[in-house]
Amino acid sequence: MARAMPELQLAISDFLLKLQRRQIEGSFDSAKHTVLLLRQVIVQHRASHSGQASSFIDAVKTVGARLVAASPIELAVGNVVRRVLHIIREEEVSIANNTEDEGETTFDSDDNNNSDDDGLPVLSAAVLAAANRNVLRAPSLHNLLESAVIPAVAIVSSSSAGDSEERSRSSEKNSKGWKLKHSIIEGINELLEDINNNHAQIAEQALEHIHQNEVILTLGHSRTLLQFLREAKKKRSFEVFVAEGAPRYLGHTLAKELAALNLQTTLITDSAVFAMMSRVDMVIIGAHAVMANGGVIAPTGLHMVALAARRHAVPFVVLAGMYKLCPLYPHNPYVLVNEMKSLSQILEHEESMEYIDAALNVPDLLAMNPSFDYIPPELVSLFITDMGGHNPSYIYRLVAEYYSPEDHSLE
Amino acid sequence: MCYVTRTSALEYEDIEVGKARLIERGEQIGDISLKARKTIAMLGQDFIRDGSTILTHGFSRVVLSILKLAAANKKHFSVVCTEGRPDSTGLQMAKEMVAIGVPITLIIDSAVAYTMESVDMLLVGADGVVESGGIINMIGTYQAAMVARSMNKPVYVAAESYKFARMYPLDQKAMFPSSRQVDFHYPLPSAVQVEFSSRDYTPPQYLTLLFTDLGVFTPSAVSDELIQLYL
Repeated sequence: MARAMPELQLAISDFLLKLQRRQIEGSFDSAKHTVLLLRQVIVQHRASHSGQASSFIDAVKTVGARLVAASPIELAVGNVVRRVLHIIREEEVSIANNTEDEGETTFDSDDNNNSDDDGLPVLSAAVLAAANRNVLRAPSLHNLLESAVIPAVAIVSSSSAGDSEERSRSSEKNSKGWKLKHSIIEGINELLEDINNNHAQIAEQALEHIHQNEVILTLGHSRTLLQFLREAKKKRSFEVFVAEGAPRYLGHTLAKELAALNLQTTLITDSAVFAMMSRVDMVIIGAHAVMANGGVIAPTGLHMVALAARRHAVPFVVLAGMYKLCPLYPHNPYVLVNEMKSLSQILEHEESMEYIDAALNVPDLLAMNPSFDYIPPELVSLFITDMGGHNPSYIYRLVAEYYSPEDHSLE
Repeated sequence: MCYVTRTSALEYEDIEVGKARLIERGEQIGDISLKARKTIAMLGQDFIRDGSTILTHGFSRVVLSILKLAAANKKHFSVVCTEGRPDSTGLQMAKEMVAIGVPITLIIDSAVAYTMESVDMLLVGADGVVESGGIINMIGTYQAAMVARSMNKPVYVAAESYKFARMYPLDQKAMFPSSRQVDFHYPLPSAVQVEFSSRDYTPPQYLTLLFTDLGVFTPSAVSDELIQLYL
């Protein structure tokens, strides 16, 4: 595998540092920077000629694993890495389809996985599941009626694929490799464009969902929501309740921005959400991430808002760009994906010092400041993404479309 | 079964060839089943956290493999299993748990709601997974899933992909009848009718996730997978 250039290494370390120091925060910024970095990785990657795509995949995986480890809470980073891996795999398949030996080449890459399985005793379950899809999934009735036994088909094609690989390699070495790299970069550029346009794409759907004289409730601040409401304001008149979103009070910023748009805005405390919910027609929020089961990672306080909305039968709508969709399932949703922020947002330093027992130097008063809430899929009515509006039960389809199961684990 | 018998070899004149092919297919499915259980165990054991209590109903080798792998990975958890009348599945499960050193509590089937508040999840296997995303499993599963849902406990199902079936039951009677003699341990008057069925259907809204060898799915994803399988 080709060595990364020194300036690439510098760019990677620079980004890692920024992630660790939380200088780059938020899904949008993290996603954008990750895409740019991965594009650089691909551009500067000088692949070996055998198994072209797998060397790109390895390069992206290595960098990706480091990025994810730097800031596990920024799920968008992992999402983008997996999107790029999926793009690489897709481009490889479509190029193989366009040249000769369509099925054999795909079998070849799967058999590479299988032969790796035999070598490495401990393999991630997701990789095995993906391998199972292709070889062990015997009950496909289409295959059952073949006279040749199914595993034999896989073995036979691997040997013939090996020969065809040799032939194609020697004859169209450079053009095939260049084509792959070029199409991967094209795919990444499309991804970057999607990320940049996601707010606009989501906002386009605003008029379908917000009706005349409706009352909308939200908590905290969301860029996507601001653009969404701005778009709806052009043709509808409605009013907005903004809960302030302690302890960061970003709701104050949103309220001012909405008022500047001449929208009737009311600012309320977080505790007043339940009291006001009976007057509200719809709750719309922005998400930090969406998990594969349709669960939502959102700023703290939003689970309570979702419960209040469910209690009053108010639709709970989540706005999320596709880069926020994470192919992972929350194993331990209320604990796993959360970050404790600095206590200075809650208590002044002098105040907290008062409560430290001087003799033992142990604080009597503890303050916790989690950043995120997990909202289970049952409480969400609708997801509005840049690819349209979807039910939470449909999220698995989007995951299957944009991600490959082999990439769930980045090790 | 259809996997084993659906082969063009059966159209051959030679009975020996047909026989050999059937045996071969049978062994293949045994192999596939074993590998599938390993994959499911790896996927499922992620959901078992330290200090959790798992309620299980019925005896499933797939569930057993998940619990064995979690125990082998040094996770500390405990298991509550139902007696499982009339099959006495509880006894089998209890023996297995003792063998791997996991604390096990046995409860009678009626005590499911009573214990549900102190467990963290319900984990069951399945005899069949149907098109709606629901499951067919030992009788009592529907009950347990309903209680779990009403108390907001996740219900996880572990099933291999060859258990996916192209049926869409609309009620409990829509399945093939499967009966099991129940011994009530005392003589019943002859006029008393006894309900014999040994399987029930749990609709998808009571299930949280399904662990299969093709990956982890929400119940709504099952029909998609089914279409791909039967294409």
